[in-house]
Amino acid sequence: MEIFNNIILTIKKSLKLNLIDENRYIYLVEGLVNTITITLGAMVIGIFFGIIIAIIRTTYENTKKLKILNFICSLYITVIRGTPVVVQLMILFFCVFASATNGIFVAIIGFGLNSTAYIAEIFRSGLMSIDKGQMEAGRSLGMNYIQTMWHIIIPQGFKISLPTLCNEFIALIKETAVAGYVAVEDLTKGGGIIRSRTYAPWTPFIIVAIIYLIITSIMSYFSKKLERRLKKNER
Amino acid sequence: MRDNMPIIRVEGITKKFNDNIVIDNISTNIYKNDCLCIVGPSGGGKSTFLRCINGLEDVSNGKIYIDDLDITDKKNDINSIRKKIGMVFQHFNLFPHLTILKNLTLAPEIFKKNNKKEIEEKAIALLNRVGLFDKKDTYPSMLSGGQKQRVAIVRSLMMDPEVILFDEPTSALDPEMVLEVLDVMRELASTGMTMVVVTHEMGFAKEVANRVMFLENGKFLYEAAPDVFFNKGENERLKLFLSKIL
Repeated sequence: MEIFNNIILTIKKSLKLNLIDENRYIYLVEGLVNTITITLGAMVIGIFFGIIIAIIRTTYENTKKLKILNFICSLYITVIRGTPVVVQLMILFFCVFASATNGIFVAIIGFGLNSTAYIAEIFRSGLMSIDKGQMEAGRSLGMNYIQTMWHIIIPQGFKISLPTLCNEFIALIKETAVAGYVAVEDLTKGGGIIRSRTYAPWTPFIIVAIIYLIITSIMSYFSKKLERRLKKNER
Repeated sequence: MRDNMPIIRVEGITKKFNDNIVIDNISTNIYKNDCLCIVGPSGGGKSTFLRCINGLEDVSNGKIYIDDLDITDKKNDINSIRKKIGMVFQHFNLFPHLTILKNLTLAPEIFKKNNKKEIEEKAIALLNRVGLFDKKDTYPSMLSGGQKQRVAIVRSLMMDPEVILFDEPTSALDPEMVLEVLDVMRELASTGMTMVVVTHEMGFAKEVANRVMFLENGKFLYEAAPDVFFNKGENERLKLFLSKIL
């Protein structure tokens, strides 16, 4: 019983030292806000350009048109997926935007361009999985290629892609933990700062890990729910 | 014999997939009110021939005129020509993400054929005609195969086509559902709709068609009115084919 009380006391002390003293919890709160900002911003960029690249690549595969654009897109995907996101981030921060002072902005662009490549491939496989008969049915009604894509293929492909897309977002929020490399104070960095003040590594990093776990658990809960609902609607 | 111009003129079309000749120099005319059934062994090029007529397949050689417009000429707008040609597929190809009503109204609404209300009224009238009014707000996945195919026929009718192409419309159906689809097609033919039907339903061809065409190995081997075709067709290959299936 005494051991148990001692443990509780130690944890309390450590929490007070790492969170309450000098308002250190602020590092985590601000870090969390930055992490979420970067993730959401990157998602928006990724979805927007991801859809465009996916449509270009699908169009090329179906019709052999847009050859040059397709080449550029597939080169982009190869480069982005073949290099570490940290390296991409550092190239952006220290070379391309060398004069930038807002690390968060650079991080949003960096993670956005990175997840564009992954999201493009997710959408592309979604679009390619739609039965060829759907395109033929649309075209045989007199709709042109773009009208058929817009009204028939893309809504179905998007729906199929949604669960995988959710996984991509879960991966993305965890990936943003490397934003500290370019002087962004995200959630992970916040934990690091506290550790450097208190010299107590356990508590801040365990707390950071728990926060990530809570966020990703919530996301995967909703993603599973979404998946079930989509399944119920069709077939 | 016929005083009207053909709706579709097919002039010596050939279709090759690489070196494989699927359609070998076929010519024919399709006239208004025709119900042309195309029969023959599987893999004989029947479906490909049909798909060439509305440009779903490019021909390697030859010309296809629809209302005197050459659809093999890339300069002609294939989309506006296709609005005049309905197509019903073996696997229905309904749009699974849209309700039955929306399946029917999508294309007419995009082309603003009428105002939204008139389009919907027309869709509902047609659904009533094929006995599927109560399904209008459900999704295709909730329908049986026969019901799906009836919806697909209605979908093609929504565009007021001059001719409807049927690509083995009953081949993917359970036997007990074949009849309900054939009934709708029979009724369509009786209203004078011009139809080209690729089918294995010899009973339907006998009863409804005014012309029956025999295709084998991509070659157009024989054509006649159904009573001649099925009873005294003078073609060795046709006799062999009929002896196997009848």
